[in-house]
Formats: sequence, C-alpha cells, structure tokens
Amino acid sequence: MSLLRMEQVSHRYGKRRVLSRQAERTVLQDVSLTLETGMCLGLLGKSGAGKSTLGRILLGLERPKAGRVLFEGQDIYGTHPKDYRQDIQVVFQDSFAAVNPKLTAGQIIAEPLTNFTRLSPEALEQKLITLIEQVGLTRADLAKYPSAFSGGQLQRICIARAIATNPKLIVLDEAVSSLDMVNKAMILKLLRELKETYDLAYLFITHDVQAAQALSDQFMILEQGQIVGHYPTPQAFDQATDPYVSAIKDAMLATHPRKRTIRK
Amino acid sequence: MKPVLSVEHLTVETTNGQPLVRDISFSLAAGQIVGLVGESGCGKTVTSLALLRLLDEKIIRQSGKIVLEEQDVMALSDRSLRTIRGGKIAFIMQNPMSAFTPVYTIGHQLMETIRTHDRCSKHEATSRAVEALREVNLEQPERILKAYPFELSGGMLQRVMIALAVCLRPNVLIADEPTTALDVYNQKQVLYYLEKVRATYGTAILLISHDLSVIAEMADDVLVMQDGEIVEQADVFELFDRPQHPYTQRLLIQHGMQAGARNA
Repeated sequence: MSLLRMEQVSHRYGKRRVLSRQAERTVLQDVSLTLETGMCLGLLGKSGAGKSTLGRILLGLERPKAGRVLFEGQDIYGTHPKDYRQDIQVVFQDSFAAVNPKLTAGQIIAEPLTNFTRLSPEALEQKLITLIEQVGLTRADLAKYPSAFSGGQLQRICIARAIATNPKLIVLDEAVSSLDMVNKAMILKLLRELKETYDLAYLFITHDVQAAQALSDQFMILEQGQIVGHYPTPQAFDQATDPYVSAIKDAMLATHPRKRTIRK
Repeated sequence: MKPVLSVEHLTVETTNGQPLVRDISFSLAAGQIVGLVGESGCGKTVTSLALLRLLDEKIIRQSGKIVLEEQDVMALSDRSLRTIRGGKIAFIMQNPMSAFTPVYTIGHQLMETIRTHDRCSKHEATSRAVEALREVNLEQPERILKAYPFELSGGMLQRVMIALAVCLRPNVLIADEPTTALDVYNQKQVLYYLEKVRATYGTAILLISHDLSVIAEMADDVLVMQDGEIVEQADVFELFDRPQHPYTQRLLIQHGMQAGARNA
C-alpha cells in the first residue's frame, strides 16, 4: 500500500478568481500521483500552475471537486482531520504569514505537540530545545517573537514545527525558496537527514530546480493544472529533452559573470 | 562620475547597543548596479531600510552620512522624506505578500502612489499603471488593476511591485531580493526588465540578493556583508575570480557546489 495516492484529482475555483473571463477556472485536471514512504517527489512548475493548490488538497485543506486522496488507504476527505493531521505536515512559502506574530518561537513549535501529545512541562521544554537545535538555532531563540527573526531563521522555526509530531509526510511548499544559499544548503541537508532518519516522504513543491535536484528521487512537472512530465529517476530528469524541461534549463542564470547573458 | 547616492560610515544599532550595521561606506553612480550579498540576518535589509530612514527611531539609532543628489537624507524632515521615498528612491521589498494592503485593489494602490508624486488625472494615472504592468510582462493588466493582492500569486505580485517602483522613474532603485519569490521563468524576465530600466533611464540600482547567480548576471560592483560589516568590496569579475576574504571564498565554494549539482 502506498503512503499516499492521488487519483484523478480535478479542482476548480469559483468566480472569485480574477484573470479569467469565465466564472470558473480549472486549476487541476485529472492529476494522479503516488508517494511512497521515504520518497521525495519534486513537483516543478510555473507560478500559477496549480502547485500550491495540489499541496493544499493533499493536506486536506481544500476538498477537490473530483477524485480521491488516499493516505495509507483511507480517503482523507472521508475521515476526521485529527486522524491524519499529525502524519501530514506542511512548511509554507511565506514564513511570516505562517506563524502567529503574538506567539514566541517556543509557543509556535509547541502548538502541534500540545495538540497531539501529552508531555510534562519538563519533557516539552526538552523536546523544544532538541527541535530548535536540530534546525540550527539556539535555545535562547525559543523566547523570541517572529519579528525578531529574519525570513530564513523563521523558516527554520516552521520546519521545527513541522517535524515536531514525527510526521510521515511533509509538504514543502517552496520551503527553501526564500532562504539564502548558506541556509538553503543547510536546510536541504537537514531535510535529507530527517528523511533518512525517520523514513519521511516529501512532496517538494518548488520552482528552484537546483533545490529540487538536491533532494528529490522523482520529478513531476505541472503546467496549467496538468502533469506534463513524470521522471521516475534523477537521471531521467537530467537527460530529458522535452520542451518543459528545456524551458526550465533555459531560464537558469549564469554562475559566473563571464557567462552572463542579461547584462553584456 | 559623481555618485547619485553616497553612504559614509553608516552605523545602525538598537537603542540598547546591539550593532546591526557597522560603519559601512559605498556609493552608487547613475546607471550602475551594485550588488549586496550576505547570509540572512547579516544586515542587508536593515541597510536598505536605513537608507530611506524607514527604521523605527524609538528602538533604532543610526548615524553616518547618506547623501542623495547633494541632499543630506539624515537631516530631512518627515515631510521631505515622503517626497523622496517612492519618488527619488524606490524600493522593491523581499516579501510581496505582505507589502500590499489587502483591503485595496492593486489599481488603487498603484494609482495612489502615482498621484501622490505626480499631479495627473485619474485617467492618465490608469494608463500609466496599465503601461507599467505591461512592461513587466503581466497579461491582462486591466484585470490586474481590479484584483486584490490575495488574488494574485507571489510571482505576479512581485512583478506588480516592480512595476510600481519603476513607473515613477526613480534615480535610485533599491531591490531587496527582487526575484527570490519568483519562479525560474519569471526571474530571468524580471532581471531583464531591471536591466532595461537601468539602460533606458540610467537608474542606479542597489541589488540585494543572497543568490550569487543573480549577482553574477547583473552587478558591476559587489559588496559582501557579514554580521553587519562589509568584509569585501570589489568588481564583480574580480570577486568571482579572486575572492580575498575567507567569507567570500566560502560563499563562492557553496555557490560552486550548487552550480556543480546543476550541471551534473
């Protein structure tokens, strides 16, 4: 049994969506995918392709108009969120919007723990220290408020919160896109270690091809709500020459000023 | 060449004495792009905010000299500062999701800015807004004007912000991680557009980024920042070929590893 299966999922947004003449806009069309335990699926696509919507559906936050999402064989839209919420966690793109500015970092990370586990105050404190150090911050940071952190530091707090309940699957929705390369390399390394230690599965939603390549075992490309490419191994992705992969490779920037193309 | 903006011995610290930016000096000439690189939390954004005196003076002390076209920014009244902000120096913020007011449409916010600085009719302001949106490659600009910020994706919002910053033809543009929130396809287009602005209007650009590829593509000179200090300042070619400071060398090694992974 697969950890998670999406079967023929389609989704539309109602007339509150702008930028379309018709009242409804299809954002996902017959999307099927499978995630196994310990596997990272890199989901690439342009902004507006439907990547985040797919992530939200998978998290149980947005009921799709058609199709099913099975987590360990159970349709997540047929069960109570409490049954899977602990097992499927998420790290969002915008860390400032993902935390309550009135809570300290410690309270933010403690929230899923107090919701799902019964820990004594001492054990909770100990767990928080372990978590915050695991993501490269110090125990003194637990008492600080989100406004005291930079975007990169706050994203690490979001990652600590996501791994707090020992989930089986984490949806990483552009989780490293706003980090600088020092932190990005560190977080990717951390995510890789966590994946190996806990046999975690990731759905890695990103437009950052390098980051995707650093972590993913499989790749998919989403374009206008449809899966247009599935590459079951990193080699298959590297060697692919179809227009979608070429477009991604063309858009990459030079790594040295001598190779630059924008300013001559 | 006479600099448009020059910064001498800029120091920023909290009122309880914690230094954020330590004694930095640099200048920007018309048509020049200066890159500012460093890890998150090193003081890049604080520097850019200090240039416009946008930091809260109750909790932050700043000293040093900031001269914008022979005007001493440190001595200006709040009223004159408001005419400079957005008019002479425009700012592109890192996080587009929180840079717009969610309660007004994009059109309202664009036109408010245009009409605060330039006396013109609503009709003229609208056509200027539409033109600006078109220049950053946004389709159906008339529809975007009627949209609220939360109805657009992060990538689209970032392009709206660039359009907003550039439509008043500022002499200096501070771009704080302008492409971090964009996907790879849009990233290159936005950089092309910034280059077009520079080439056409001779705008001086302070380009803050942690992505050395962006710096490699765009910058003339580069400032490397660590813990609030500029540890190295060099021509972009010189910096990539012969980095002097150990911190710069470390950044470039990490950059090289990522580039290696990309080509592998």
